[in-house]
Amino acid sequence: MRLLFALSLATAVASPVGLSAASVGSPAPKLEPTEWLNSRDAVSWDKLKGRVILVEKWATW
Amino acid sequence: MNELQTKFGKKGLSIVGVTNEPSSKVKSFIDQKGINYVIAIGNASGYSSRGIPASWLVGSDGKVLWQGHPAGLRAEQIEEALKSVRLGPHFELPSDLKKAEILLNAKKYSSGVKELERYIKRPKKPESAEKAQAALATLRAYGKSELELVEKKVVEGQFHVVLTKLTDLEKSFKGLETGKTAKARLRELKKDKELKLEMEVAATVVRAQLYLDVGAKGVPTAARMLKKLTKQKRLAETKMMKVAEELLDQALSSL
Repeated sequence: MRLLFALSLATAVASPVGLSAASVGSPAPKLEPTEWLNSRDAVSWDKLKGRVILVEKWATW
Repeated sequence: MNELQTKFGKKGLSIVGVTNEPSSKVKSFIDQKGINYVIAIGNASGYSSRGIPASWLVGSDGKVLWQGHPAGLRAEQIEEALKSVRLGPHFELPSDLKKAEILLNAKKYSSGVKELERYIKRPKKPESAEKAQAALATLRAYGKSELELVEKKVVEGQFHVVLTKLTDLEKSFKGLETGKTAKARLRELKKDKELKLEMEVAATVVRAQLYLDVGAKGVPTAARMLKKLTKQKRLAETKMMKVAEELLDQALSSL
């Protein structure tokens, strides 16, 4: 019950995107893409833990 | 971005480009442009922005340190963030192995291994014992690959890397097989007729680098140390002298 309350409170004060919005000081939302490209070893968000990550929204156009 | 990945990748930066375009299209773009970082195909859910490109710098603790247009990101911000990176395997263990997990992720491998071994002797849950065994195996494999990397660096003449890595391994794996091997190898290298000169230069290079890492305040000291080093004729023939000279140039140019 207490958890539920905390969650609803957090949602209320967070941006419209909700709990998972990436803003300075908050935990970075986990990326779960359909596919990882361009890496020698298999990547996952968990495997990147502990490193510094630069997430860039990006397009080929 | 390519440049940043090259410069900071080994120090612990991973750039992840996110796009929801078709992967076939993205693949050919990667080849064409020679992109050297990872691309994730999908929606960047949770990462809301007004436009593209937009970027987020995430620290080693998983928290967002900065967000904005990539052009506004300064290299110093990345360097600052990298200071808290401790490269090595990341462990996630069940709740009855939390203490071991914390120790291992803090690179306190000797104490972490003790915890794991204690658990394995008297396991509460068989599945946790299996996880503990797997963690031990991961750690052994990591130690082995680090020692192999050291030998590669010996061949390449990168003795400053050799010195840093071996010292690090000796400390974090103290009392364990990997730590003992690192310690013995370090002693051996310092005794070897030719290599001991390389190691001597490497030691000063490593110390100078520490001063440079401090920032502007450390630069004069680093420059002084390196100048003195490069004047020593008996060390002139070492491979490491080139590294020292490059570092000196770098220090002088930022004075």
